[in-house]
Amino acid sequence: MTESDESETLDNERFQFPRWANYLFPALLVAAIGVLTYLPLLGTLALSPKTRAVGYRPIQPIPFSHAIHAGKLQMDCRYCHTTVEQAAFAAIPPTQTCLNCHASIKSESPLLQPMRTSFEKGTPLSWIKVHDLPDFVYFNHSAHVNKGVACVTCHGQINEMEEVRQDQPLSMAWCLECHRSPETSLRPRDQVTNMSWDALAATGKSSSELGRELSEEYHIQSQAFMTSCSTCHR
Amino acid sequence: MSPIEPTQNRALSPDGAKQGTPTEVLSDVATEMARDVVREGQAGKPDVRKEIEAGKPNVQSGPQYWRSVEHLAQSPELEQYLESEFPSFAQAAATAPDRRQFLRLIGASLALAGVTSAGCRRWPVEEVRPHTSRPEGFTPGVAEYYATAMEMDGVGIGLLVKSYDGRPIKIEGNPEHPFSVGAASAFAQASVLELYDPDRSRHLLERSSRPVSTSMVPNTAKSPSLEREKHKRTWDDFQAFANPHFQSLRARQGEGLALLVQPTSSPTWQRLQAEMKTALPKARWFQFHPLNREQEYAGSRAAYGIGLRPLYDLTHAKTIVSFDADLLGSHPAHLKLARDWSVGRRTADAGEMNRLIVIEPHLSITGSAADVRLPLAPSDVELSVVYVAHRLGILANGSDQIDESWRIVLDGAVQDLVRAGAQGLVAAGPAQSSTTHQLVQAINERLGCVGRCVSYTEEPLAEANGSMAQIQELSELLQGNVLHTLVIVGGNPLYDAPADAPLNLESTQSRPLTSIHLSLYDNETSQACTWHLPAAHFLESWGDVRAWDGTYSVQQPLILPLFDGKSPSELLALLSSQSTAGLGLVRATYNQLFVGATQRDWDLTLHDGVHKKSQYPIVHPPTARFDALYVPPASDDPNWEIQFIADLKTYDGRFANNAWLQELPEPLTKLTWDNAALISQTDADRNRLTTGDVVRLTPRGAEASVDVPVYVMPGQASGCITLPLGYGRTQAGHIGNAVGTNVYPLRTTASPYVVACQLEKTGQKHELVSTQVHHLLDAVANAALVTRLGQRGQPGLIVHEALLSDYQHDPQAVHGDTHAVHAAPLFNLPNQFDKPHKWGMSIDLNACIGCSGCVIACQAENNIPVVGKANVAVNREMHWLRIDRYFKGDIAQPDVVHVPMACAQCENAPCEQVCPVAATVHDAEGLNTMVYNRCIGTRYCANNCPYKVRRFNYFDYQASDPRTPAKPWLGIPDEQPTTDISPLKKMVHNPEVTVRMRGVMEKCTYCVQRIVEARIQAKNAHAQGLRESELIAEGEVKTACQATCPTQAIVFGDLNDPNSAVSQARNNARSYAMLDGQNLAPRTTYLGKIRNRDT
Repeated sequence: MTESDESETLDNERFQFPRWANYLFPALLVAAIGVLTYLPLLGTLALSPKTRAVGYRPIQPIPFSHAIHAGKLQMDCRYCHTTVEQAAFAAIPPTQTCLNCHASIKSESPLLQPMRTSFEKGTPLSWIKVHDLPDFVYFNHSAHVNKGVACVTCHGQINEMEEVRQDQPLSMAWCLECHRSPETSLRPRDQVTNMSWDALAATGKSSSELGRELSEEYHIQSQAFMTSCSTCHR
Repeated sequence: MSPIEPTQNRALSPDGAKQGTPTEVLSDVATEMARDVVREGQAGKPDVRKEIEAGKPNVQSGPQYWRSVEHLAQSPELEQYLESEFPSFAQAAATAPDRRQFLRLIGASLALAGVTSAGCRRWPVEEVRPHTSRPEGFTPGVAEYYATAMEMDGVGIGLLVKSYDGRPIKIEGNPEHPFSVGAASAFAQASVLELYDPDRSRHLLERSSRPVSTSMVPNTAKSPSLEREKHKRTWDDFQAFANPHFQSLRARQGEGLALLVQPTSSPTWQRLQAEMKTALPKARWFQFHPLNREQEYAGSRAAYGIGLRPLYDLTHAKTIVSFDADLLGSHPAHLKLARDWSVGRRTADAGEMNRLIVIEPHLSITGSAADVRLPLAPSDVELSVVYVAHRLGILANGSDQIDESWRIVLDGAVQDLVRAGAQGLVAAGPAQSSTTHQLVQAINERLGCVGRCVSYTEEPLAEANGSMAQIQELSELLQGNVLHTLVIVGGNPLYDAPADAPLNLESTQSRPLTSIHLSLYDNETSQACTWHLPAAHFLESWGDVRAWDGTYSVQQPLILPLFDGKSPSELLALLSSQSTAGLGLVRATYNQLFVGATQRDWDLTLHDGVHKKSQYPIVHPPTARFDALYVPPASDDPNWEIQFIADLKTYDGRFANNAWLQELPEPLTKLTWDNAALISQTDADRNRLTTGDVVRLTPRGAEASVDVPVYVMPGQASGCITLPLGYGRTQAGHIGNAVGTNVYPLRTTASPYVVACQLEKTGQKHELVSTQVHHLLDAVANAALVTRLGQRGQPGLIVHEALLSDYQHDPQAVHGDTHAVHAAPLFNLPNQFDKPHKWGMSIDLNACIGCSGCVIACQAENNIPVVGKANVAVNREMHWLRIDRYFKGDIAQPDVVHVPMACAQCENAPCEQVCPVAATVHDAEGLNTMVYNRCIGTRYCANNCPYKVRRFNYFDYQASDPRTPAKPWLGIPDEQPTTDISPLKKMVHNPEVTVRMRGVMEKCTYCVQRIVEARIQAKNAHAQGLRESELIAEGEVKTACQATCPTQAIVFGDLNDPNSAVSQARNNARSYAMLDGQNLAPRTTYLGKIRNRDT
């Protein structure tokens, strides 16, 4: 191609879109649809309760029913989870605790065989951890229970669960909701294990009003303190 | 792809570029140094002066404080090192993979990432396993503390061990124990890592008695184990062998049996030993320990007729003169001595302070804390004792070999001693001859300090024959056909016995020999024996020990034996066919020892860790005998004096496989993962040596020689080379094998501590890795450095110090004119970070002796990984707390300052201002917190940190192996939690502290986990109506470094409380903020150092 030819072609094409521009619009459309579906999908997946393990309900070695023990039989949480007021962990009870009753009740049940074997052989039962925080989070049960945060706030209606499942997302954002405004989840210390306590019915005050009073009474720390990194991370 | 080129010895070798012809090189730096020495007029030997030609550089310039020889000389290499933004980068870049390799690996890792991300849940399923029946009083997840004790060299040390769900994880000193006073040495603290060492022996082993071809000389690099079959055995197998074997021995009254044991104070052991001696009267007993103090016993035996153990009381001593006695560093009672010494330092603020004068060959911990220090070769130390004794009128003749420059120091010491009278004290070290010890005892008697600053008990470990004589006798017996059974309890004699006492453990047809070795590791000795028996760690077994003053402690186990080991006492019981239950043995001894003791007494002993009033009785010795006409033998030996010392990291070699200790910078040389021949600058110049040059040392009249790299050490005595023992192990384990040089072959039974040697240059180089110039507090390279460290004769911004006389006169003298730089901030900081507490720390430089116990405490408490020599070489050690060791003044006799440096928790923190992702932010109480999960690894914060205290995880150090340098791009994706860390190694981790991953920055947190624990406990107790205040009270939270500090130099607490120790320290006239004037408002401040001398 000579130089004149080339300049002629350029002249012709100067005011025309190049050929590939024909595909630009559909391409953009496809891209836009792609982005518009991808982003919500990503958001949904990342934030979905499943990803956050809400509803996580592993199969346990014994199908222990909180609905029967804590619900129907009205047993206090602390009968089994004895360390909840003293320690970071609300300890899973030793096999001995089960046998306190099950030595005589349902002592032949095949479902309880793993428990009996555990006690006879001295080998622990391997329960699957349901509420499993990342290892860099140092949640302390005693710090919450002693300040009037109820079991039900984080664990949900355990007394209605046949098998324990995760009720709340247990994400950092969820923790911070409460750490920013703790008064929303406070109740008198002696009611923390009550599964059906209602502020209005019990005290005649709205839960936020009561929360503010209790926050004062229990010396709940400032928001700056409650949201400091070192409060939960080390 | 090895990450480190051995030639890039930048930090240490100033003439790195000239290494090709080392024999020809006279380092410019070194010459300059020597000139400095000469000009200052304090060089050791006069003939040096003639060697240095004229034309000297100006010695008035240069830094006031310096970290290394190169730093003092302002070598271009160091300057370049300081100028570089990331000093570690250049070397690392050289070893990183090339682009093609990088892309390949990235591609592969992306593909793999797709594979591994498939899964239903984002994190692994965890199990909770409760007890079947929970022990009463036990709360899962709440740490428990038990008092126990460990024994080193027959001296018990009281410990308090933190146990987490049944795992011992942290060792501290027992505050109730009179000789640990709440402090613990680096050794004691690191022994928890030893407990979980995967290299510990896990089985009984029986090795075939097939003759081995190699000669059984100790310390041979070639291991005989390779040629012998070994079989795993059980204790039942061993008993099946031992019962009839020892039965027949009993029938022959033990003829042909020998036992080689460690010195021990254990009453149970002594009881069982006595019983066995009665049952087997013809059995021979030998006691050997390479680092014995027998010349001391011999000295007191010569003076008083009995072996005596001196109990020093430094609280009352005004003048302490140490002749090569490392009272604060490697003395068995060093924790107590350091505490007492620091009491006499604190009185500086009241206008009075003790004076420590040290005359020693190598710079020891005590020497570095001294007010006056004179470096002298070992034989010259002896002469100086004679001189002092003469001046005090004890000896008729002095020594005429005293140099003029020594005379000034020694006359000063004599003057001080005379003035102090009964409050004066003289001590000599284990390397000194028995005559020296005899003289020292006479001097103390003359001063009148016996009964005040020193009292005596009978030495329980003194035997008629010394260790060296005993091992020699055993060696001779083993040459003949006298013995057929040898039981070695603990120790490692095939590694650490002197060269002229080799143990021939060969079993031949003409001389059948059954050798049995009880040991934590299948080590050099075990491999030469017929039977190897795994020993129980002191944290796994029952035992009893007695402290330096005889205080009785029970050693109670924290965990069942991990590898089915037995304690020495249990083995002895087994051999005598008794019950081997450790508790029963100890309890039986207890009942014998304390007649009438009740169950409650025993419980109290267990609980407190000590049995009250169980000290050895104090002996009031008669007047010391000595030869008043003693004249020291004239010595004109042209050879080098080699002095052997206990290493501050591996001790006698027993801790060689302990990675924490291997990586710990040695307190004085700051060497890691190595030992070296310490040599003075003058000697190095005369022999044209620089740091890293390998020399061959040959003892006079011996054939054995050892090749060892030299390390030019400021403050080393001229004419003397110091060799730390305990390296060059061949069967220590994965960590300790082939680290450093084994110098035991140079030792002889006749002179275990000092030998005369010839030195020969080999022309080879060895890379020594020292951290002494790492993290030099330097932001704007060398220009800033000078202002910070101060020009000569001016104070700097880092170390503040003054002479006692100046300080008495003007308390501000400590700070010189540095407070002039005070720049008033333009505005007040928006947040005070003081609700409800305001945490702060104060470190007393006048008390810090640099022992490095705090560094190990921090490592154990905060799950700090070990990175290995290659990574330390490029500045990547991870210690959150380091101790900067500064020298000041003349290189031959420098002053030393130890400055512990950790994050100062600046209120106006420069690191926070540059973090792009807010990964480091303040909490409400003033902690500069590090959010690992937000950190993206830009390292801006580390770059902007004026104190250089931030550490970056370049690799996944928890999972990588310190002995094989980490490979940059392999191991992606990370599988660390599930695969890479052995479960045994994980057991030592503190579950209260996050284990950090690759790519995150980390630093000191003021032990936030301890603060949080104390806070929650206080609040819970308050909520339950058990205590008045929900605030943390003074003393309820102690940082790991603070808790273990033997001199209580570190104080931590609440600055809101005007009565807290830290507030009090802030009000002290000596208090200052480091790098003041930058408006950092650090929460850690320092107390200036005071030196008690005239000029």
